[in-house]
Amino acid sequence: MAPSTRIILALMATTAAALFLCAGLVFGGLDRLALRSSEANIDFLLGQLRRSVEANVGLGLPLANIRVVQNLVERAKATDGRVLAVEVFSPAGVSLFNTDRGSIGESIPAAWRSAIRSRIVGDRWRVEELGDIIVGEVMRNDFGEPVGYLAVTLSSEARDRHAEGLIVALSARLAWVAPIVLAAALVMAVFMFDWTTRDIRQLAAQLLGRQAPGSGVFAGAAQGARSAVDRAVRDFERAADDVMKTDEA
Amino acid sequence: MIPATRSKIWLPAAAIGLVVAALIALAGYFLLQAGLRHSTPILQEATRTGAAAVGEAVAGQFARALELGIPLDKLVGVDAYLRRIADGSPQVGGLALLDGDGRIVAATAPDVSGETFEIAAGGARASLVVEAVSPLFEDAMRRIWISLSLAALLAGVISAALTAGYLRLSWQPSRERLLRAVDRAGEGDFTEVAVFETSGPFFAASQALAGCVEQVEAARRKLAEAVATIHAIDFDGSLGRRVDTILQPLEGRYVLPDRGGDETQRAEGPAPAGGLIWRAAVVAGLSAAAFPFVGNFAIDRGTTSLSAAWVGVVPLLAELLLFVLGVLAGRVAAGRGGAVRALALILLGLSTGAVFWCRDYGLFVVLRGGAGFAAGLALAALLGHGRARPRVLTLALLFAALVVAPLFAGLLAEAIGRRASFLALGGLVLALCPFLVGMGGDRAEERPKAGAPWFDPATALAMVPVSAFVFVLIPLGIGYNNYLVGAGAVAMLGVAALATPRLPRLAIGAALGAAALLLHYAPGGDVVSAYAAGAALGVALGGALANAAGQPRAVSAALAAGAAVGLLLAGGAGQFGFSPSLAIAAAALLSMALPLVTRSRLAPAGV
Repeated sequence: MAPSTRIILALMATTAAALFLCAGLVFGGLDRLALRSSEANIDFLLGQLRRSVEANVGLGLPLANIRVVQNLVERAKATDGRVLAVEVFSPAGVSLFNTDRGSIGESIPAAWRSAIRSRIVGDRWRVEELGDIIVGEVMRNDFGEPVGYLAVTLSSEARDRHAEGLIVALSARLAWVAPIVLAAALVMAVFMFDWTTRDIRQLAAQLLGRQAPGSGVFAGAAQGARSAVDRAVRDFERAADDVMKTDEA
Repeated sequence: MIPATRSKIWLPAAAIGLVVAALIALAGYFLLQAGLRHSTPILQEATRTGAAAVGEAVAGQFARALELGIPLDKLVGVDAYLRRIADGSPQVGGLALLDGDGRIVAATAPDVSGETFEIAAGGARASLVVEAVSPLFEDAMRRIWISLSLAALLAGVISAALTAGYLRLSWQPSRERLLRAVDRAGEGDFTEVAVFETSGPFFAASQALAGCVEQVEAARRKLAEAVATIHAIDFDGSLGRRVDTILQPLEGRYVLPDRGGDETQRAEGPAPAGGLIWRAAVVAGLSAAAFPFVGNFAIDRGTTSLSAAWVGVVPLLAELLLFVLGVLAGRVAAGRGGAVRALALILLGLSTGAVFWCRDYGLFVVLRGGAGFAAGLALAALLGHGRARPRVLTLALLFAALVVAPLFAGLLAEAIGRRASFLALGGLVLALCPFLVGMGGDRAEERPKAGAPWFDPATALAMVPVSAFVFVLIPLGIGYNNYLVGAGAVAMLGVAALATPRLPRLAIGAALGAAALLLHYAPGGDVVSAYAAGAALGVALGGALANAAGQPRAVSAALAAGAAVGLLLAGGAGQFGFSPSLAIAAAALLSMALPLVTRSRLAPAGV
């Protein structure tokens, strides 16, 4: 394969990769937006719940003894169909109140611990686990010390539906955009490489005697080479004839 | 260079780069339109739903007050309450509480409009107006537009670089060789062989020239046959004397290749370096594209065996150490280049991709170590068997590792996230493996000249802060969970390094000093300062590398040592609480003092 063909193929591969990257960027950006919108919708719920719990903590009761929190988490879950679970756990990572009452007393998953340890931004942390989204907040006492954590588990069903539809829409668009873009890039690349090697092809044609000398870097050289070849052939042939004539003389 | 060929390199490169960038930008626009057509109604509905939930909850609170018999105009702090709700709910732009006659009791703004929630309790009536907005949408759109623009720019830059690289490293040498062959043929010397290629226009021209030479050879053969015939019947030597007289004018006039048969000759000697350089650049770029994620991923996996300052640094140190071992192993394995390259690339792909499934810190360190070893082995096996031009190779590696790789990584993370990016990078290495291994035979490695320096202290001093900046300060600073922003700082460093010519040591020290000041006095997380510091560090690195051009062994050792010290300093800074900028300032002072301390043989003449 000629090097110019290889480079044209590399340019096509780069263009194709960039197209897929663009599709990925649009998908990633809009999918993240859908996720952030879902999370934003529970901001209010999370804030209300946190303030209610913190108000009770502010009365001086240890978090584990505030029984009203169980009612609060159950009521919070009931207000939004996308909320799968609401949980309050201690700084040690033990579930204190949970809409799934059977889980009370159990330890939180390792991924939650990791998120709390290293991924808290503005008292908010989030984890994606088994397709669901867990959004949490730190609850603090009047001295600003963490007294526990709140976690709301959201269903990813709506996000998944949105993502599937988005993939279909982008694939359909890519199906006609990609061939056009690749064809245009191919035409441009072929034209450019044709332009860069035009004088080389002219040189070949001149050397083969198929084309009259033109202009450019190679034109003079080609004419010189052609003349030298013709002269050499003529000289050798004349010499051969002269040599043969020595016998006749 | 042949006159007038410079424009034939940069013009096509720029044109192809621009066209590809424009095409990708257009494609990105059309793809975004398709995405928005699907997503906008869903997102608007989600925003309305969220705002409605807030409206219902807030209206419920006011209804409760009315139930308790508290008139709305007697409620205290309603304005502040509404503002707090609006501030805490991204999908709520404003709230207004109206009494039964429609007069505003409290509002976050004078002109709030939107969905109205009726409040009726305790015999009184009121209403709450909730304005739904989506600031998230505007932010997300801005980010998508920036990402798409960068993707178009990156595709254009890569296309232009590929074109320029091909034209400079393959097209131009072939063109010069062909012109030389044709020129010599014009002078009667038909021995010059034209090009390396086996197909394409250069090969066709070369064959045409070979066809011309063949005509001359045929005529010469005819003459030789005539001479042989005469010699066969020359019994007294008289004919021979006459023949010699005929042949005398031809002697030395024409030079023909001494070969049998009529096959087309191919050029001998070293093949053009382009193939080696782009392969090495791709390997370096794909390896470096993982760097922005390593510290972040390590911190997420976490470990109790190390202090927090070292959690993100240790995988990088392991990777660097094993990279050096890989380079040494690759040099030892010379002679089995193809197999070594293939094995190294497969290991690199698997080690990088497997991080996708990695949940354990220890395993992560092992995988990154494996990736480092494989990258070192692959690069040594690639570069140890050819004669790449050191300066062009350095520029290609800088471009791939410090410009393309961080931007590609940032965009990849925007598209598919950090964890899947490891998988994508590993998959890319495996997919490109057949092209990267190459088909060429092995050549003996060029031995460094006797007495050539083995270490360049100026490059090492410049590399120390660059390593801390690229591997730790940016990924765990402005680039933490914001890879595209971090990528910009590293790309600035790369561009500055590429653009910087040879510099006096004083200027290199001044650039390092400027970077130290910028990092020390700029507020934490300030993007502009980080970008400016990146550019200053790039100037220092680029100047040091340009000064040490032509001494690959000294530069390689200095880069490895500088990178290791930079990582240790970054970890130590976290552990002992000193500012990394102090270490950069120390490097700056040392760099400036270096010529005074030692008359290094590497000090460039004339600068």
